Amino acid sequence: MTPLLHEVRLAALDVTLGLRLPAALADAPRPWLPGGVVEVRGAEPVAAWITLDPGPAGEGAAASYRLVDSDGVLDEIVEAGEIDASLEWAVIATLARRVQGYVFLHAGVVAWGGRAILLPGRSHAGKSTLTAALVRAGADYYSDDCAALGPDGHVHPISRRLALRRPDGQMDRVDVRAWGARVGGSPTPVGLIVATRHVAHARWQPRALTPGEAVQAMVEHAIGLARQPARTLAALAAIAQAAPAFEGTRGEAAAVVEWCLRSLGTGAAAVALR
Amino acid sequence: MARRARLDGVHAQDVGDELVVYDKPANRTHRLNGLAGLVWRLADGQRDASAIVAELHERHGVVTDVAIVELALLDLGSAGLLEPEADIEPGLSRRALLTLIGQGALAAALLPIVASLSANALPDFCFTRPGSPRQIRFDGECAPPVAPPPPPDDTFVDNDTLPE
Repeated sequence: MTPLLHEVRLAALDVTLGLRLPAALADAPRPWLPGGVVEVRGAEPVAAWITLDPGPAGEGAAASYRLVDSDGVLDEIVEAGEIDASLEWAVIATLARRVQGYVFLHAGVVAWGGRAILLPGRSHAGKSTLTAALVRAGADYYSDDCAALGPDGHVHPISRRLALRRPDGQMDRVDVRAWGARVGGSPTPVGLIVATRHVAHARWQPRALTPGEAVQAMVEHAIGLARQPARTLAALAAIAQAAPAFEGTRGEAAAVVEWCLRSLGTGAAAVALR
Repeated sequence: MARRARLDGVHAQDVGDELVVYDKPANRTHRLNGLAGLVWRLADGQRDASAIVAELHERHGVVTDVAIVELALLDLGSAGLLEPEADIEPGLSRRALLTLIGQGALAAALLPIVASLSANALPDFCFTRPGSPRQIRFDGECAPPVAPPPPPDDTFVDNDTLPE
């Protein structure tokens, strides 16, 4: 390990993580720091270390870095231009793997009127697009990728920057506050579960799910199911019994947005955003 | 013939009237309706179908018959939720049981339901690092690179908000 790496401690939910970074990153603003994760001082033991190592070339000359963790799960070569996105991803992925009292679900999350809309789905199902559309309509942004479900049945704010795919396939990371939107900062009860995926020209005709069907639909996207099956099933069961759940394929996001907000009982017009 | 519920590697969670069972070795989930869930829990290797019918009525107030319980046991067995029995005698087929039930006094609404799905695409959740086709599993093994599908048609693009 390069001796000039600086140590930073991060805390979120019930986990403290350690980060070893080149000096320039340790001292610089941290756009890669996920929402809901804070830097802490002190020598508290950490659950896992993430290291971004420029290698023998040193950070001034490094065009790429090695990203590893203390559990031997991460071992990536990251280009200099990918550092922010990769660090953000590594912190959330390690959190999801290390939390004890929380369950992470691969899902988009927004909140409206004090209740969360959970959008479980696989990668490339259109979660980010639908999440962005809901935020544009005035919902508070929590995440477009991961929902952190607490033992209280609430969604806890752990978020990355919204990832929007350009027509050329490249991804842009967007801070929704630049749109005038709000980022959710407090645990919120789930008010609606919508399992959907984009199919070109599909008509949104959602089917209501029984609580058992809702659990089955969410289990497919649960992180760490094999590691902590009892806790995962219990958390999903609590949510499925507290909130109505629907599934269906969708075409344009607008129809789903209108339906979601109407289903939550608000029907309010979109907040004007920049 | 008395069958026994398989408990090894299995995690069951009550969800209202339903029971969701996660079979970890098979990486599958099964959703059992109220009747199928009760039959599974009563299958202790001692009770045959008639005894389960009696127990359902006396302890749970559920009125059913042997054919319906045998159908539930058949479906539970097919789902891998019962211990395999080496000396099991072949019973009526599913079709024959359904025919028998259809001729009986009980309505089809009382049929047991066992709905099975794969729990998720890989044994444990994978994260894909932005810009990398490689998926990383939490057990440390790396899945082979998977090319992402083409982006959805309605990819959200707002040129007004793209960063400078």
